[in-house]
Amino acid sequence: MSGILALLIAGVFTENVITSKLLGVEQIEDKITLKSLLQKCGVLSVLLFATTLVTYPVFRFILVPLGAEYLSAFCGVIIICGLIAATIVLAKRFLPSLHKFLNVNREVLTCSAVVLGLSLSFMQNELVTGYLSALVLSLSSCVGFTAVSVVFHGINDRLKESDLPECIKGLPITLTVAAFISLAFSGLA
Amino acid sequence: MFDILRDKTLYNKMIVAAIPLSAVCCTAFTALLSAAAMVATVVLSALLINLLKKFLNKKIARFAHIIIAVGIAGVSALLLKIIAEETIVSIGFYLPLLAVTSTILADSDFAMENEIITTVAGGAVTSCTSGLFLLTCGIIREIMGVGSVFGMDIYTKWFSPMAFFATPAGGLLTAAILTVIYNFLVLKTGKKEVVE
Repeated sequence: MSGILALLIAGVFTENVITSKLLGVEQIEDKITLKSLLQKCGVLSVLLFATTLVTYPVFRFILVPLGAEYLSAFCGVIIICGLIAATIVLAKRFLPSLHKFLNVNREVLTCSAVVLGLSLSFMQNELVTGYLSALVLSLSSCVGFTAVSVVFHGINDRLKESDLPECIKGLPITLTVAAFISLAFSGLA
Repeated sequence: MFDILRDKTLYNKMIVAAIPLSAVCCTAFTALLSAAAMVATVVLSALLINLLKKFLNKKIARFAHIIIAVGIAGVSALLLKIIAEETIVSIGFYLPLLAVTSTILADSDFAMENEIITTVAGGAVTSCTSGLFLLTCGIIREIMGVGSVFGMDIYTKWFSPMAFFATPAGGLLTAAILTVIYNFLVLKTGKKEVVE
């Protein structure tokens, strides 16, 4: 039980996708509405969990015994493409509003560093000892990713109103804030 | 070249593309190897997409691009493993992620619509700039975080290295500092557009 709790805390804080692995940093710079951001994070989270569900057994039980770890990224991309196609087909049937969003963003989702990077990182993560721990960590990573994205959305809104020197406005101040949030999160390790 | 570097959106894209790698590039040597792999992956994937444009539908060009880029990134990783195995192990899963960087830096639509030389030149300029940024980040972080450059100690007793710069947070802060310097130089040379 304590192991699962540790994985949940790690995924949200110490092993956070954005602040610790710096994956999906473009997310903190996105100038979109909160609703679109949450929609994007929701889809990415579902995709992330589904990718872990499929990729972990493929990597652990097929590629590693065959000594073909170098193919993991290649297999990962193929699996992600397949999952996105399956999600689009399912969304068309059951959730038409989501289908429109997926159709517009499918290329962005396929080329998302978060999904591919996280599924690859589970192979080298010491915390991941088995299938269940990989699933729990992916679930908590989804929560951590969404939480940090929402926090940055709020910070960016506040920063827009503040009077900053011209050369610090925009990306530099966002990166500085991200650095200090990353430092704060790593302090919980 | 300078006009490309002054383009706000493009510079923003190049920095954001390089940031994930800066999580692990805390030494100059690691950054140099990563930058070399990045340039090779971006240029070769753009070249291959351009050569295959007659056989590719525009709708699947980006998927084809990422699959080709994953292949090239894998080959780069295997080649770099021969040169420096320990360094490559420390970079870990970030090397295959160069495929994602490649799709950001060399747009498949650009490769499909332009001539081969334009495509390769475009990919080379963006990837070299990103690589240069990564290398600069690596050098600064090694000096500040370890007190050396390419493994050579440069500090005397009066300075103790700050471990903060060797962490991902240090990578983000270094990237922020470099972007501020870039904005300052762009503003000083009369261009009123800054990275936002």
